[in-house]
Amino acid sequence: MRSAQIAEWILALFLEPDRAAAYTGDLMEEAADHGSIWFWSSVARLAIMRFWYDISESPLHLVSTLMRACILNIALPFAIIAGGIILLIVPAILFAGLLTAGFGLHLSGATEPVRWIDSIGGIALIVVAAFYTGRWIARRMPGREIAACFAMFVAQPLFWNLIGLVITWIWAGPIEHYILTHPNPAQSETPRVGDTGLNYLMTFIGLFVGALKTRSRSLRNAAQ
Amino acid sequence: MPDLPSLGEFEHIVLLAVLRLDDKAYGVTIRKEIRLCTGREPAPGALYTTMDRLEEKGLLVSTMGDPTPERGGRAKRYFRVSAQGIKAVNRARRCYLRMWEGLPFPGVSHA
Repeated sequence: MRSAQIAEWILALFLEPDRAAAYTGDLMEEAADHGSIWFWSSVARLAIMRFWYDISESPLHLVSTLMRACILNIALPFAIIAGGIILLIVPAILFAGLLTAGFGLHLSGATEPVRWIDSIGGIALIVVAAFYTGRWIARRMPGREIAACFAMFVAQPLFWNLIGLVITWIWAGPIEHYILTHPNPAQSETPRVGDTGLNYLMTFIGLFVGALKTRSRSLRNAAQ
Repeated sequence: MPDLPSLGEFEHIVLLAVLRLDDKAYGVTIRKEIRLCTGREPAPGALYTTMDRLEEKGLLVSTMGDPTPERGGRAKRYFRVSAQGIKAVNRARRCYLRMWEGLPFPGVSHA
């Protein structure tokens, strides 16, 4: 029964694998009398209740872990960019400088391919940062990895909006001056690093893949 | 007994259902037993979360049974009440009895 396998996979995100299998078996047994709608609503309710149980178990630890994870998720791309500049871009610029100086080549500004590379690079940065943040969260919240990542996914925009509000409140004058003196750049048709929906989706993917990888490794170690 | 965890109403009911079922207590039979005895049908999510919590508190112990074909080869997880769980149920029972003592309800006798 393929739907039972999917249900077991969903429950195994929040429960140990043997427990998820046993509970799926129980629901299958009862679904013979109640039907498939009852089966899927029970799976969904069990997953939601388990999620709530995981995040409400030690809320202070969860909140402090998520706040540090939000900062890590923002700091990681900057660290990667800094590393990239040192390792790749500085030699490349030096090389390009030699070319332009020696052969009279002229590197133009933001052409379409360059913008695409910029966008793909930005998205890759977001995914890599979210992946390592997911792993970081999973190591700090064993057994509750996926619930913590869901909470992080929801909490991150709230956290940064709150920080933004505080900063705006403290430095209202300088920020207003900056906005007035720096008009918005023209919108590009290619996806940019600032496209919130895409960033959000990529963060979601990175976080969960990272957390799932760490979770499956810790489950494998526990089984051995 | 300060180290004994206190029981919520539903936790109490689950422990009693497991005790009544003896060695046949797993998710499906526990739900049926609760339905038979109390007339209310607990949601599977609520039941399994409560059983997991009771296990974490050390009041329930679970073991895996053999895989069965009607469950797609999935094993049953059998539950039994631990010694700590029996103590917790007994304490809750004593508390309830003390609270009931001397209450003049029409049609209720305390033999």
